[in-house]
Formats: sequence, C-alpha cells, structure tokens
Amino acid sequence: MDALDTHAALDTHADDSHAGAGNRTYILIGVLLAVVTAFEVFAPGMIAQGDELRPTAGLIFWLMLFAFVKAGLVAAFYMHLRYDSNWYTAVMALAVFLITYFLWLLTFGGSGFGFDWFG
Amino acid sequence: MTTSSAVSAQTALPVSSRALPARKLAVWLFLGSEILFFSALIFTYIVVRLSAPPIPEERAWPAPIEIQGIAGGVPPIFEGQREKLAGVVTFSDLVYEHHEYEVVEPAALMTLQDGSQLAVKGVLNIPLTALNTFLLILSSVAVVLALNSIQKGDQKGLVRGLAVTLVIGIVFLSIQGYEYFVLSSEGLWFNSIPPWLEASGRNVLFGTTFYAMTGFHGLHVFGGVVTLLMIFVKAVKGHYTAEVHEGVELFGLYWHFVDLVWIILFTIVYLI
Repeated sequence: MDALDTHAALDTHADDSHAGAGNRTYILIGVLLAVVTAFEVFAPGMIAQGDELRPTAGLIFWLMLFAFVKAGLVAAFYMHLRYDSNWYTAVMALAVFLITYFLWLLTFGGSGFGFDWFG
Repeated sequence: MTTSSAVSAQTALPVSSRALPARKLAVWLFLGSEILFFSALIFTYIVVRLSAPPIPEERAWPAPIEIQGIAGGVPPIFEGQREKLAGVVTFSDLVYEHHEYEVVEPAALMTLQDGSQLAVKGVLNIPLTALNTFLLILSSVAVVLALNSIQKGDQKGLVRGLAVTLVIGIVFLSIQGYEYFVLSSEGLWFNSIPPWLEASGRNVLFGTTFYAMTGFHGLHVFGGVVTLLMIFVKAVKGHYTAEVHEGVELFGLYWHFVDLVWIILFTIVYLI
C-alpha cells in the first residue's frame, strides 16, 4: 500500500466519496450522450446549411448547447459533482467564472484592448 | 492525541464539519487550471476564426464540407446565380465560377441540376472522429462502473472496467494518429492546408488551430493512458479494496474531464 492509498484509507469517509448513482444510471447517461452525439453528427441539417456550405448561426447555437449539456452531464454524474461536496463544484464554477471574465475582457475590455468580434 | 484516536475523532464528526480529502481537492484544483488552459486554446481558435473574412474572400475559414473539384470543368450552372445542388447543398457560385479543380478521391460526387457533377469532401474526417467520440464516452462509462465495482469490493469488476478503458484509450490514440497521418499526407499541417483548399483561398491558420487543440487533448489522453496502465497493474495485483481506492477515483476524475473536453472540442473543431 503506497502513500496515496494510506492517505486514502484515512480520507475515504472524509466526504461522500462513495456517494453516486447506480450502474443503471451511469449506463443511461452514457446512452444519452451517445444518442445526442449521433444526432449532432447525422442530423440532416448538417449538410443543408444554406449558402456557402457554412453552418448557420442557429445550427451553431444548438450544437454548442448540446455540447455544453453533454459536458454538464459528464461533470454532474460521472465526475460526481451532483453527489460530492459543493466545494468541488465551487472550484469548477470559479474556473468557469474566470474564463467568462477573461472573455469579457477580451471582448469589451477598456483601453482599446478589447477584440472587435464583429467589426 | 494518538493517530488512532485522531482518526476516531475525525470519523465521529458530522459530515459537514469534516475536511475535504486533500488529494481529491488538489485534483479538482488541477482540473480547474485545465479548464483555463483549454479555454485559452478554444478562445484563441474563436478569435482567429472570427477574424477570418467570409467566403468567398481570400483567407476565409474552411467550412466543414468544401467543394473539392468539378468533374469535367466548370458547368454552365455556375455562370448564373446561385443554384441548388441536387436539392441538398447550396453555395455561392462566386468562388468557383472562374476556377477548375482537379477531382481528388475520395470525395462524394453530387449531381447538379444540369447533370454535371461536383465533388464535395469533408475537410476533416467527421465519421472517424465521431467514432472516437463514442469510444471516449464508452470509456467514461467503463471507468465509472469500475469505480462503482471497487466501492462494493468487486475487484474483478474494477479490473474489467479499467481494462476496457485502457484498450479504448489506446484505440483512441491510434485513430487520432491515423487521422493525423492522413491529414498531413493531404497537406494539412501546422503551417499549411491541402492544395485543394489552398486553391480556394482558405485560411492556413485552420491547420495551426486544429493541431493545437486536438494535439494538446491527445497529449492529455496519452498521459491518462500511462497513468491508467500503472493503476491497472495495481488493480490486477489486488491493491484496491472497498475501503482503499482513492487512486481509481482520482484517475476517474481526470479521465472524465478529458472526455468532457473532447465533447466540447468535437463540436467546435469538427461540426461547426
């Protein structure tokens, strides 16, 4: 037993690390992720984009929404954020807040450093 | 206070007042920094892509599916206004009406209304990458089932789940390697794009951002596979039990995060 596992022996019950869903839920989430991915790839609208073969703004919105929902499912169920201590969710939320803040700076930042996305 | 009494005092406390496991918190902090890292790559990609002029101008960003060639020269249909291609795809004729392209296989031939044929091709291999996406999702299921197994003391279930994940991880990297080989053979590299895209005046930074994002993700998968190999050996030797399995749990967090990042990258890089 190495140092990590010795430490783990003390820590195992320090939070709800054993909390989580059952196998059935995990498999259902996996099936859902696969089905949504298949829909994204094979949706007829993927080709019929209108002019210039370029994805429309509407399609980009829906695909990004699907992607973030799928990522949220992975974080909530597989990474156990739904069941674990809220501190872990706070760490992830802090990172998301920071990138949102940086994006805001990049887009609307003062002193002429902001990126003109649509200009 | 002795160590054993300290442990007893710890376990006697209510859940809300206990300390978080230090290593697990450290992994979460690491994953938080990884979010910033991959976000920087993605934002760079978005800025570069939005900075590119729209088709049909020079340095336009490639669409997921591009015109690769026209069989038999420029058909009359391009001399007029935009028309539908076999009722499925429409595009502006402005870019193509003055050019002739060499048809390079493999490409899907689409029949135009006047009977002439147009070769269209996905810039990236979406079906192959979609397979990789399915594989990563499957590996996430395998990891979480493996963790569930060892939490119940089922060491065989743990080994089985980790073995499936290990194989999938290696297959994922192999497919990505094959994808890189094919794309680089066609001319897509950090500072170049395939000739048939270059002829259309597409943006060379496409290759730069593509390899930066997918390459760094691939390195993360590689790191995960190496770590998994060590954990798998320990699992086979029976090191993990229902009480002691933090290594499996921490690896699972990392692996799921790699899956999560790929879900975002797959949409951003391949689908839109």
